[in-house]
Amino acid sequence: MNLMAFFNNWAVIFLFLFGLFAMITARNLFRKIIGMSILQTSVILFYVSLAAKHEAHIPIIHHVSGHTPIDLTHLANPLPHALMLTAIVVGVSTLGVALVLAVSIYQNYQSLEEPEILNKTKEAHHG
Amino acid sequence: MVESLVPILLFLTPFMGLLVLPVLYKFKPSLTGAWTALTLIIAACIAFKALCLADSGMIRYTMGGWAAPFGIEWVLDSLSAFISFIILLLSAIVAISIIPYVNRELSKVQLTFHMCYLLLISGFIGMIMTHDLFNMYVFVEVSSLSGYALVASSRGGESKIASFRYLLIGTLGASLYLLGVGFLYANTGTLNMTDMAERLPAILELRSVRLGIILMISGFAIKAGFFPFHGWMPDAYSKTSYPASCIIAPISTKVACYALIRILFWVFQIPTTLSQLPILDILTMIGIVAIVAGSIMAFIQTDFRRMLAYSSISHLGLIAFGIGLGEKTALAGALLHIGHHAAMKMCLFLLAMYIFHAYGISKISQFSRLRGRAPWILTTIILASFSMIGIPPLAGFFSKWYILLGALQSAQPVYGIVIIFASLLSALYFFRIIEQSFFKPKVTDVTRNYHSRLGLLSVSLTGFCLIALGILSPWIFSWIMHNPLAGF
Repeated sequence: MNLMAFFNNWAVIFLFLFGLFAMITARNLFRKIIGMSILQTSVILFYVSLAAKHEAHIPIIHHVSGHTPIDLTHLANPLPHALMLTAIVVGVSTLGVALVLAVSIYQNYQSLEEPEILNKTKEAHHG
Repeated sequence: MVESLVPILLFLTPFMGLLVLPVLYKFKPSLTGAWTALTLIIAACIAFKALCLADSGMIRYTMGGWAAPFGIEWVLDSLSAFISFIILLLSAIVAISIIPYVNRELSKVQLTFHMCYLLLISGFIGMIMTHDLFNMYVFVEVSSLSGYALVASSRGGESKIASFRYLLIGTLGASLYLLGVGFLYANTGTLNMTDMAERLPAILELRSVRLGIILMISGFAIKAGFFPFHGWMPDAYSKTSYPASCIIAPISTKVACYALIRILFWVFQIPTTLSQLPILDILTMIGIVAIVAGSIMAFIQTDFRRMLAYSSISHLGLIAFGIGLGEKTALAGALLHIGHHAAMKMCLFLLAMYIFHAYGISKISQFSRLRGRAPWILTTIILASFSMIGIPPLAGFFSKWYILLGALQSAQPVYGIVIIFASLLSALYFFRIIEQSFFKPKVTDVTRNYHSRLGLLSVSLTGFCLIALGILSPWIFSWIMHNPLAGF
């Protein structure tokens, strides 16, 4: 089996797990957000590579005569791309909300390091 | 003709209400809460009409007139009508009851608060109605994003941290779901639920199809707060503002439960087709662990809303358990429990909001301040806790009873013990509240800070509704058995 034939899928797996790892282990909130963004992008890469085709072009048919059948092997599937446009928009909005929350946390605690923030919340409870 | 538009009308009513809000706020800021409530009441009336319509048959609405397998289709059947009626009715009641408290707690942000509320409900209706798997993802994110904003609505940093965690975990859940949809799309070439249900049985042996199924289910398990994925719930429910917790806590996880039921039984047709993949057994197991662990964690909490959050985890475990038994009675019981648990949690969170504003009670040890003071509140505490424990004729008893019946009819009747054990454990943590508010020495010098008649009325009315809901339960149950679950 040729491992390189599934190069895109390996990249998806690597990026997804890398993003997840960053979300779990990073101590800085911005690093967590970057991890989240990488994780979402890996899913987008997965969909786009589903529709990738060698020597294919966009499925716009210029002149249709009734006799020549349309050659599907040279047309790329447009649906995954259309879906991913929506998913990119969703990802951007999620990123926006996450950044707003991070800024708001920074304004409250003057820090973006998670252990420091947790210490400050504990102090607020006891003091 | 209007009938065919009902699925989209249910979505458009809150959404159009949301678009009117900024204009209304410019001219008459005091009416934003009332307008939100009015929109949701109208939507709830349409949902009731939808429930009557769905009895006589499905209503399919195709977006932009593109026919079903290619275009996006919204379907109103008796299951989606049932769940959307529960969601809209409860959110309308909450919208009325929180008006004075939003003015008191969140008056500066009330426009964005109400806009997020209506957007959240529109997103939920989209999730419930849609028959397209990718469309479902979009609405999951629409409702989640407004949910994060609502969780962050309280002043101070803690609610922001809770919301940030909720956002990270929720995004992971949605991404897992999207990845799973990608696997199924690659194998079947369709995103329409009916179409996919037809094509899946032939290719279930493929490893990539199974991986897709597992990814989708774990995505929704995160959104529904099922046991190993429940970490976001306690903070999100207890650190946020009181009105926001009344909105988020009763309904947000229930819609994810519905989505899980929809894809498990309508798209994958689990009991008949997937006997080799033990998804249902795993759901039962995590349900049992959640029931026990959630109750124990609820018992050791000191904060009232945090205790309610852990109690939610335990009751969601009960729903997962009912789904996982894969048996018609238990599934109907789980659907009934989705409605009943939402009603009970709404009652308890409204109560938490009232007593915090009136007597400053947020910890369980402070409940003794209530003794001999607030007769209606004390009655509601009794009604709601007895209903959560499962004492007849209150609502909580019947849903547990039907899940128990289902467990006894299933392959492992031993599981029935779990339900009885669950009731005992709920009794354990709810008796702490009853003990504090009835058997502790009377506290003198307690003053009532902020009293809202509307708040008191809504708390006691929802408490008494639990009795009515309990008495109506057998009838609702037989309706569920004959309508949404008729095909089993």
